[in-house]
Amino acid sequence: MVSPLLLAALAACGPAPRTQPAPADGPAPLADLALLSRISLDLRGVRPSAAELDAVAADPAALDTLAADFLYDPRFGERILSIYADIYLTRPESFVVDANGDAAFLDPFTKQAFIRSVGEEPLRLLARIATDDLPYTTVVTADWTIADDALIAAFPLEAIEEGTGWRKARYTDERPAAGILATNGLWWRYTTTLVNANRGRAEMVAKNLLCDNRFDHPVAFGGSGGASFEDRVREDNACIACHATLDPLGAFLYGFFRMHPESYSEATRYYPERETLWDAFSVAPAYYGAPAEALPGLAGLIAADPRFPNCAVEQGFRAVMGRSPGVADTTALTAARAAFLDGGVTLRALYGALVADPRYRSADPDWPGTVGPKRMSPDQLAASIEALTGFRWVYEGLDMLSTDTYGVRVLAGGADGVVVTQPATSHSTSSALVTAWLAEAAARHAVAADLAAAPDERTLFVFAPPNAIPAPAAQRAQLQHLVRLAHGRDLRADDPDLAALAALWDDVNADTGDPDTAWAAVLAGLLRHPDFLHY
Amino acid sequence: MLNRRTLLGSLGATAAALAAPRAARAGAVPPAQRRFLFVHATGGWDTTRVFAPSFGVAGVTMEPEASAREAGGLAWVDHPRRPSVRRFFEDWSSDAVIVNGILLSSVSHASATRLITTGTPDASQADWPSRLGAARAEDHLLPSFVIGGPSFAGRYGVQVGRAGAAGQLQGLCTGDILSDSDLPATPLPAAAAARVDDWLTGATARAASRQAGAAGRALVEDYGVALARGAALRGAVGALDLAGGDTFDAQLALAVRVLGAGLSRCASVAHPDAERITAWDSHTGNDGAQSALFDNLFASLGTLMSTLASTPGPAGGTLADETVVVVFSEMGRTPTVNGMGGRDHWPVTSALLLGAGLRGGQVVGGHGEGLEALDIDVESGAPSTGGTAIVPNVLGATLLALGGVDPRAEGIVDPPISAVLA
Repeated sequence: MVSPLLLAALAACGPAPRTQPAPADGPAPLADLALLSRISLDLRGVRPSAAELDAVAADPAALDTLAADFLYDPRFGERILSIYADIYLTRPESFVVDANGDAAFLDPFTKQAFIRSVGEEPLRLLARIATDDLPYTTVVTADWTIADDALIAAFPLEAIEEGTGWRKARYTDERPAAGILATNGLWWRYTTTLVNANRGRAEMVAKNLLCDNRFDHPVAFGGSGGASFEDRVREDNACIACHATLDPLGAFLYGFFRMHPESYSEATRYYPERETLWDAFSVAPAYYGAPAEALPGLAGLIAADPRFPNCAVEQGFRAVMGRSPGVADTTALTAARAAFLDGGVTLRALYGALVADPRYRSADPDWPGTVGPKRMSPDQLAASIEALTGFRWVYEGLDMLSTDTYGVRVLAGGADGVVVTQPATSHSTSSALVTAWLAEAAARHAVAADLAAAPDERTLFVFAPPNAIPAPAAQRAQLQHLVRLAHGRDLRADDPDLAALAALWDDVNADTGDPDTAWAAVLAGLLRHPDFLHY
Repeated sequence: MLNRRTLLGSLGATAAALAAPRAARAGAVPPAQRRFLFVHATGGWDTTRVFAPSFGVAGVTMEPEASAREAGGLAWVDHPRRPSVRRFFEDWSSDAVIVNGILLSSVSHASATRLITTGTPDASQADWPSRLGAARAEDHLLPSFVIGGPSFAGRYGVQVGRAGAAGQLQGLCTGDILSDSDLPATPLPAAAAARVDDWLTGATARAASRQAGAAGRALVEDYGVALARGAALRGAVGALDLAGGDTFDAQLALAVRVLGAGLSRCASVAHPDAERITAWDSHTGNDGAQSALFDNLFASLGTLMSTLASTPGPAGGTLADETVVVVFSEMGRTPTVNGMGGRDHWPVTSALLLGAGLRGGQVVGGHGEGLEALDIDVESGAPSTGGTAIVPNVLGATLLALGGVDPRAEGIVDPPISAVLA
């Protein structure tokens, strides 16, 4: 359906980019459509729709309304999942737990899908907390989890919500209520041994829930002087610095201890009788010096710790600003924290505040703290292309941009959570190749689907008739429409980029004699363009 | 500064070189032309099994039946269960340098891995392969090629290429990757795709010029470089098989192919394979596990050295003339055995350097009581009280110097171990 607003705009040969006036005490903001695209990608993982672009083009004041709406888009939960996947790193391609022994996993694709489901369990719980507007403390206090059919079949879980797919469920193995701390998914990813005594798990808790990064700091180790490992942990100052915190924190987690870390059957369950195994190591559970009992005790202390919401603010800041916060960001962090707390400690309140930051919205690269263009993550790329073209690159049920064994996640710039622990912030040869093939396949899919649809049902090719050479005006209007959808940018009729696009269409049509292929080439090019990949 | 014009010129030369006959053997190459093969033993190796002959040293439990052995100036730990290690040092000791007593400041796998590969605990910093590759970016389609093991690209992201867990880069070059799709996934006809590539080159340049800030411009320019490299790689792949495999020998074979073809300056692989990332992490059953892993590792390293010596290198000699092999693990293991026959994490490790540019046949650094790291005199490599601790940046400075990169230009003030530099 052709938007009347768009027709009006195109008839005027395209307006200059509109930008809200700079506030007196802040930087000039991005052009409205560019800012809309940035907010949409950060909150929903996709570019804005034609209707949303039209609304802001017609009335810039609609931008803030839409930004608020994006927080209530179902894809906000997926975006939170994606953000925390790069924090919790629970989506590896394999676990120490070996699922090969189970007959259900003889098919490698089924097994891979199961591994992905296990890793997503804590992330889905977090996403549900976000979309249900639950307090962030629910992350460590929920007495339920989120599971799909595979997890419900494999783990001692019962669904407590109607429906199919990811839904609320509860463990039936007497594990205490502790949100993500009581999920199999978290502790399959962060495994331990008798000697390690849950220290790696404790580090995960401290680092990812409290942003306590002390364990990354270099430690000045000296010689052992012949002392045993156990003695050094208690007596050597270099060792004590970390172990005095980690070891008592790890002592809370023995209910998830496995005698055989690789055992699938053992790893499905929680073991209440093992909660006191810490006694064997003479290290009692304690939270930064405060004694407590069992997992709910730990969860309660985390939920009451001011570092817990502060850490969520830092993590959110990093996700939307594309950089770590520094001292100069104290005011922004304080404002976001206040909004977070005032908003009921909900992730909607937090992310809504973060995308309102003037430096997030700034177009002035010289303004201190201004956010520069970011490249889409593989998750954003897959979702944005699907939203625009209807094409999702899936193979044997596995999303190609989120798996490495069969797909191209790391090659596309993603993190596998184990060997590659940070997503790429720039491009590589392999990511450019991934984008090229994905764009071509998606463009051909979109052209076939859109041009086959009735004219009033088309969303992409609203000006160009199928399988025909369009008149120059229709070609120009069609190209302007595609650029606006793909890049959030209005091209003027005399813009050299528009002429170059028209030349591309003409060249491909001349080469192939096929207007539809020419449209596919144009769309593929737009999907590979930096204005699509960056925001 | 790499720009599109210099890149395209050099890419053309690289692609042409892939098909050109080899020149006569030229022998040793200058540091700037050296290539690097990084081998990461994943999980933390037990240095007392091979590199640290700490027999009779207080606080160190050596393995029963192990003995100190020497060949060509190199001292190591021999054991009947590790015949490949003995064979390796008997054959290649004159090409080898053992660096003992590398002092890490962490015993966490993740943190120690960042430390030994980048010199800092900060995952946003570039590792040694990325820096070495970036220094000769204009000469290579994939300056640093990651086949397995850790990789921290830092600001050099565009200089780093990846093979993929199952060699997917090959499918990305040929387009075969699109056959793995539940929906029909059809590429554009070749002529149309070429038109898009041409248009995109100009469109990307225009997009770069539209950026208001340096960061945005750099991001778009990086993309332009990635596009150009991707197109050149697709053109070159017919002459080169980029499909790897996750076994160690398959990773090495691919590394030799890309280094020999001049495609990469650095290649990185993981032992024992790309998937078992905790294989060396022997908290239980240390002796059996470490022996098997070391024997397997050195058997493959021996084959690798022979292969490098018989493979033509891009500079005209053999790959052995221009390749430095860096074998390392992110940490060592405790000097004594725990209650389950295992050894736990230890912040002192060793590295084995092999090949070009090295003054081989020597051990630098050392261990004291309780397997502590000893300071060294970087000129002689010998332990020296009050000397220089071999922290990761010292190892990094040494590797950068071997590759003709000034460590100070990379922000590293620690000195290289000049004793190992030929």
